[in-house]
Amino acid sequence: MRVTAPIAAGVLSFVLCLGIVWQAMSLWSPVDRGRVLVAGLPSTSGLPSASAVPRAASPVLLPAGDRPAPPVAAPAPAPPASSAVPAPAASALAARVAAATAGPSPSSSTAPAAPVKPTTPQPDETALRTFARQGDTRRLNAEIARLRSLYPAWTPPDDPLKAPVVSDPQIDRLWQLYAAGDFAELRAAIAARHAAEPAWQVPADLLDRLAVAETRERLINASDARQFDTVVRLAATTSSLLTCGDVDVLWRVGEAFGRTNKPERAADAYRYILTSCPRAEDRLATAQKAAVVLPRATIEPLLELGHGDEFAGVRDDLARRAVAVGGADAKAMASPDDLTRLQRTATVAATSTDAMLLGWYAIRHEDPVGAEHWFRLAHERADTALSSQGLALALIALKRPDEAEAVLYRWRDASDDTRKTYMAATANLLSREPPVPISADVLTRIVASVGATRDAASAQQLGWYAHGYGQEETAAQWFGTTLGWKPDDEASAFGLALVDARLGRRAALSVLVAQWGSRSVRILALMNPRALASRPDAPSGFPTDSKPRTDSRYGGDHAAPALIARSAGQSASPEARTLSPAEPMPGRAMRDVTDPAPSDRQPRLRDRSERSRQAGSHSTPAGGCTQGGLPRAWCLMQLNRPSEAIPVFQAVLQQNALGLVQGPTSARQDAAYGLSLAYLRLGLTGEAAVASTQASQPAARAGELGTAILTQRITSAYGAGRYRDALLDLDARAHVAPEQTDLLNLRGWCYYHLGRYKDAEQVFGAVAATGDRQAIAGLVAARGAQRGSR
Amino acid sequence: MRAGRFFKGMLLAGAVGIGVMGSMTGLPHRSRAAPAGHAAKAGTLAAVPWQAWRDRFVAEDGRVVDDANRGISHSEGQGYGLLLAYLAGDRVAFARIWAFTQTELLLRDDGLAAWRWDPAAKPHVTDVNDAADGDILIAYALALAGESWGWPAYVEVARGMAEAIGHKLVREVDGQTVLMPGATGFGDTDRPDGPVVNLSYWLFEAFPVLAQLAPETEWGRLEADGRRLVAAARFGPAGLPPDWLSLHDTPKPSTGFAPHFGYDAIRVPLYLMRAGLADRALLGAFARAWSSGTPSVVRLDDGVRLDPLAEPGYRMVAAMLACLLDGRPIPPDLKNFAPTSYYPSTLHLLALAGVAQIHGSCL
Repeated sequence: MRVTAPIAAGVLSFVLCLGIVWQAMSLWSPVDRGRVLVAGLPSTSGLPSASAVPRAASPVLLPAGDRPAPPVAAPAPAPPASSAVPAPAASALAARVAAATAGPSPSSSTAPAAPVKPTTPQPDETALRTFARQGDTRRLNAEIARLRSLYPAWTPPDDPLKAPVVSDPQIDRLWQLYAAGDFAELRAAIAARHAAEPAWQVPADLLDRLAVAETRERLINASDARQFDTVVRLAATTSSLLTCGDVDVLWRVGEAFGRTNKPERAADAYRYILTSCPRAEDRLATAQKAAVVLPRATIEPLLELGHGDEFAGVRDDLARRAVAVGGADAKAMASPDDLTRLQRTATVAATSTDAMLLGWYAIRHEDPVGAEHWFRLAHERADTALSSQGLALALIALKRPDEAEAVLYRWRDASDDTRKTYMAATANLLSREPPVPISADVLTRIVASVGATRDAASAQQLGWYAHGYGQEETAAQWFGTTLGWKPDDEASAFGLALVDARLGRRAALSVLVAQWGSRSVRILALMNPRALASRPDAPSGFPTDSKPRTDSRYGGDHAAPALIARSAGQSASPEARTLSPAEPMPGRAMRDVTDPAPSDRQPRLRDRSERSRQAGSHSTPAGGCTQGGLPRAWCLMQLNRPSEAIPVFQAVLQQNALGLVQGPTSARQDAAYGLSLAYLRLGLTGEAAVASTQASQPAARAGELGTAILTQRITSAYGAGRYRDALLDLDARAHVAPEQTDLLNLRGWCYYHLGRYKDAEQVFGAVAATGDRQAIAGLVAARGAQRGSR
Repeated sequence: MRAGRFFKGMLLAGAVGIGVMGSMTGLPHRSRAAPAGHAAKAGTLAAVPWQAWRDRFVAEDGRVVDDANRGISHSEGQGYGLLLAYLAGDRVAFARIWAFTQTELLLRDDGLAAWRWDPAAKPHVTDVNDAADGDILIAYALALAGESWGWPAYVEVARGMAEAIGHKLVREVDGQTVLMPGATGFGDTDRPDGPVVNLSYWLFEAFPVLAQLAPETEWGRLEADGRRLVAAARFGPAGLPPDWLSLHDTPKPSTGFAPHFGYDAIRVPLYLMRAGLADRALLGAFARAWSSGTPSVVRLDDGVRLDPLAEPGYRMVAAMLACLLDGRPIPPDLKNFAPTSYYPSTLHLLALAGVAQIHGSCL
């Protein structure tokens, strides 16, 4: 007997119970050896000897006083007639079971020898006659089949109606109650008869069958109440329930095993049906139920038991389920077999269902090409909102938003999801880089849809689209509209400010700066773009001579290959992010660097540039910083102790604000300026932006601060892997200050990490033409990636 | 109407099975005190009232119908049916009721009975949680009948249930041995005021019988601590116990239920009396509250009487108390049982049988 699970030594009762079951099996005629379900229960090695265990299917809950001595005959294995499915022809079952047990079935070879049946018992034909008299042909036939399977030598009476008249009409009535399924009434009648005639004995067959029938009902009730331990317990003690004639019970037992974490035993139950029960509909339903209850690995061997492609449909369903799960969860992978199977059904089917499942799976697993294929197939078969939405998602991912927009336009209002996807298509369409002209028709309907849905993202993109084509008034309208729908949309406020700046509307611009300056550095930086643009020698830590310094820091050739390797490997890794183009940034904040230790060369480099600038502006003596006020703050800045300088700058600001010190206006400006610089040096961009608003600065200095803050935001975003944000800020900065080599390289790396290799190649190519090593390295990486992605 | 009963269903419907209810762990095996109460005797219920009850409330399939509760059934009703059938010596009805009970309710994996069965629902078991009083009634009646009628298989089922009750429902809470009302839903992790108990689930007369079946459980302490709780859990001017008692800290009426002495708690004195545990100190307050002969639902905080419990079954409980404490005869109209609705009718028979067993001279 196969051992399917280890048995805890203490589970003696269960072993005993198996012993009961086992003995029951051995008592049955060879036909019933097909009850491999119980044989499939865990090891029965070490069973008590057959004679030592109680009789099979002993209705332990019956009052013993109601019982006669155990009958010689085996317990009746058939379910109660009231609920019986007609048993299959005994011969067919016998043949099948014989075939099954001759093979690998574990039950026959090592099982305890079946005790020889005592002298041929006579079947009790009472039930037979009862059913015949009632004209209940179905039950009559079931009973004949049952008796035949139990007593192979028995032949049914030619005419059951002519059988001898029941000598005891009271017993006849008991059988009628049994046949009608009135089990409580039957119990009461037995008790009544007992009370009247204490010596009277219930027919053993009736009592056994009653117990089995009651147990069957109880098992079904327990199964309905999800009391699966009870189900298993009842099945183990009443194994005569487990027959092909009552597959519902077998299914419930299988489910109970499955729900109590015994998939192997559940599989035994299903396997019993599949190897022993001939009814095609039972077999198919069994495979379907197994597919619901069992883990996938356990199902497969069962499906092997199908004849031909009997269970092909079940396999299809399993594949469907696996692909559907994978379509909802990117971490869930369908097996290649499942995918192939479903691809086959999806291709030959007339419907779109399977193609849709494959499409969603592909979308979820970042295979937009596959997604387009399957959604397009689905879409051709049924142009529905869902197939159109799927196809549009695939096309958006393939950077073909124009097609996505066209496919989904018709269905854009079908649901919230289609609406969102349509808007994503339009936003992507409008924001293509480089911009691609959109036909008037499409633009018109996009405008209408955006207006109808009040979609802020697409409205903003309409603004940028117009801005890109120099339609500044239209752009301003869209940015204004967006702000109306989404008042906190900084990007639209920036767009509006940009338009104002470009059109020279200083008043409108200053209103925007007043509104947004404390929240948006790039809007603040627009205050005097022309002044900035005209200052190639912008002071602060953002010198224009970055290239020589880049070279001095990365003179060794070793830096570039490492960069390429890591970037080409996977850009998402932190090393790739921090090492790559962030390095050439002269103005990067100390917080962002890979190694924040002060011994790093960068701070010292920066420190020098800082010092030289400050020495020029403020003539602060180096040394112990013994003086007070602003000079002390600047002195601390020179010593690269910005965190100590901050409270000093703050104190100066405070005193000036309170009027405690009658200093020059410039002191307040200087303090705010210094505070911003100190925050910048600590990498606290937000605080720097706030500090910069605490005193109005000369335009040049304001622009310088704004640019510095933006630059730091760029490097922060880049360092954190927020490449899109970095690009946005790069664009913003490009509006107010020239983009130097290092920032151009960083832009290239942003494109690279976003998979926009062509754009990266373009940027790197331009810079590499100057001989810049970083750019050359980037160029190599971008070209390599393009080859790799083909 | 017994609006106050069967809150448990509503409460438990939302309770997710949490096995741990009290701070109970394996108790050291101290010397066990046997329960002091006594079990019921067969033959204490006369055939006529019993048959009236049976014909009214027991369906042909053995289902005891709670007619005031949309015709549902429950483990309590099945347990009462079994006990009354035993008291009346009606083996036929017992077999019938047991057939239903076993097939339809004795389904739980832990060996306890699902408590609620609704004829209008499919599946019929609409709450698979158990109710301690139903479990105890069933096990107790099975043990009595099996023992007395020589049906050891009944005793075996009773033993299994007694062990499950001991394991699942008898808990130690702050040094007291208490009976949890159900396997889930009443413990300290289940409710903000948990543990919550129901003193009317202490079927004192069953404990000596269960103690023989499941001796590893401290039934004697359960009885003694139950009596102590009945003595301690007195609230308001009337000094009566609530239907549902929180043991979260010092015992007080549970906040999840109406703070009433009501349909449940009326069984507290009945069960004490039936087990022979009546003493004036424990029962005096009930006698004072029922001096008119008619109990009522009492709002505990101010002692206001709400619904009068005027059905004869409730008045019979008061009459039994008057008999036991003062030797007053049972009024003639209560001696002759006529069924009203299921619950007071049941209390009526339990009280009649109790008087017959303990103080027959009142009849």
